Amino acid sequence: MMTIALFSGCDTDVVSPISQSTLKGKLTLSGSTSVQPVAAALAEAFMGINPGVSIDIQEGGSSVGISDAMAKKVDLGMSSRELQAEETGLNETVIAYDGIAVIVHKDVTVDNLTRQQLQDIYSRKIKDWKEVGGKPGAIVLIGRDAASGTRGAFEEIIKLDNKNSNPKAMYAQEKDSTGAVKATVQSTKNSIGYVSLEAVDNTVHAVRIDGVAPTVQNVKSRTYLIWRPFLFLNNKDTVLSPAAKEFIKFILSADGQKIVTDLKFISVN
Amino acid sequence: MPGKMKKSAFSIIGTSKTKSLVERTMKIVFFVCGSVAVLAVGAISVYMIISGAPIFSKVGFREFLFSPVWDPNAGKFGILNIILTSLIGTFLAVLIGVPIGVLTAVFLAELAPKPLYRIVRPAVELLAGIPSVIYGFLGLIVLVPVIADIELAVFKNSATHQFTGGASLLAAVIVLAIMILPTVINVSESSLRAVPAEYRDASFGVGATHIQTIFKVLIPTAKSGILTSIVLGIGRAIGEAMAIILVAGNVANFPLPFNSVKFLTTGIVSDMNYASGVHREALFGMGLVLFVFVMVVNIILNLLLKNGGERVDK
Repeated sequence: MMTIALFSGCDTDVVSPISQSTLKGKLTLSGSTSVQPVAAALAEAFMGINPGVSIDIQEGGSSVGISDAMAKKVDLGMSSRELQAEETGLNETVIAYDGIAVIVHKDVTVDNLTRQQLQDIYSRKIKDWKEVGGKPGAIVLIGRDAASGTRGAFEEIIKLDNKNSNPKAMYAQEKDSTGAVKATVQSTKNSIGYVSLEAVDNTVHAVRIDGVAPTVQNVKSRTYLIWRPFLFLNNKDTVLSPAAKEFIKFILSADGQKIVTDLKFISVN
Repeated sequence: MPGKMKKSAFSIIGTSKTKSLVERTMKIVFFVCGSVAVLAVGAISVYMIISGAPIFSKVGFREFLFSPVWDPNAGKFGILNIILTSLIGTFLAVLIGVPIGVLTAVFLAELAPKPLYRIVRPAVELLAGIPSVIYGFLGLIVLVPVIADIELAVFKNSATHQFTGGASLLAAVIVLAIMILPTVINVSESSLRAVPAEYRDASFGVGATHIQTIFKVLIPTAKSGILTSIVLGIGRAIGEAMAIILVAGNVANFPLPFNSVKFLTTGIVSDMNYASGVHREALFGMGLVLFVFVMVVNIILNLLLKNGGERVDK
């Protein structure tokens, strides 16, 4: 009896005073390569507070995230564009907003493009930089592949989606991620491409659209034209696991949104 | 007097009873191994046909194979340009790679001084072992910018050409040609070395020069081996995806040297991750077309070997 009483004081599960969460679970996310950096940072912070939860994030493009969510293959699908008419049966949660920056090779001297010029460039009505006030040079069009939410959002806003008498974007190269587009524009003379706003650095030159520079403030105030919501999607038929519910609560809280803004994205409030 | 023989049931030096048991067991083992190979090929063939067939009924045989419009988001699945790119790209890669490969094999087998041979032969074997993706990576870093500059010079005054920044059919063809070199060189060299010395001696005996001997006696004799190497090269080129996906541009255009193009292989690799529904079935259809091409190449190889063999025996 004495021995038992003696040993009952030893508790191998000492809970540290900092993390008192007993939440457990495994979450899988998949989808947009643009959302992935935000999701990864939020997941890391969330797992720090809830060590019993593990979150696995895969990429593939917004279309993958949407189709995986519809097929219930993942807990949450990530999309960087609005859903289309045929993508039904999903709950949408906006976790952040993002601008799409139009970048050009560093040697291109054009600093500003109107929406119409951007449409004409990508539909090849305008073929040379000299037609928009730059040094003569044939424009090389870089874009994303068909699964990309960035491409979907870009084409919808600039009216290049080949629907309702909009022209079709005629890419010279289709890359599979924002990073690949940036790397290609960086190394290809006279090229133009589009990337997630937070990917812009001083290796490429981001142009102003209709006179508005692509900055976080301008996206927040909606004066910059090209922006899209980051969505977390789940199938309406499934009930979110406790871990998933807490994760979304965390993302929409002040702490979560601070992580969003620290990464140069735009918060939801 | 032989030493004491071990009376183990698994020894191949045993009594006649154990010997026949071992014989029968090993025959079964070999048969099983052989069946695995046959079953694998059979299973793959059946699976390809079953998964590749639906697209032909959904989109129509004629539209799928003969329409150049590939736009999955708009529901258009015409792979004509993609098929042509695989065919023309492979053909050009073989056109460049085979002569260089065969002549290198001749050099290695007949003309190289020993110290040079000792350097070149291992280099060729190393080339054969380099992973495809490394070729693609080097192509991206080294070849694509060079082709971008050539493109600017060639199309200086063109009003219609769409500049690709270097990612083009030409880049893919060059990478493929370099990739099939080791295969062609190794097999051709082996078959040249296998030509009996008597042929060479006889040719010199009647007064032919070394070069005459090579082109009129040795190469024709080694023809079946050289043809085998060519067909192996074709097989490798038509099936390559990783090396060329980084340099080809990935847009389904008509295969001209300075156009951004999509191959059957690169199309499948780039889209398979996310395709669903009809798009996915179209990718299986492309896989089936590729499978048929490889079958045809193999049938031609077997026919050539049969004929080549007959000629040598005459």
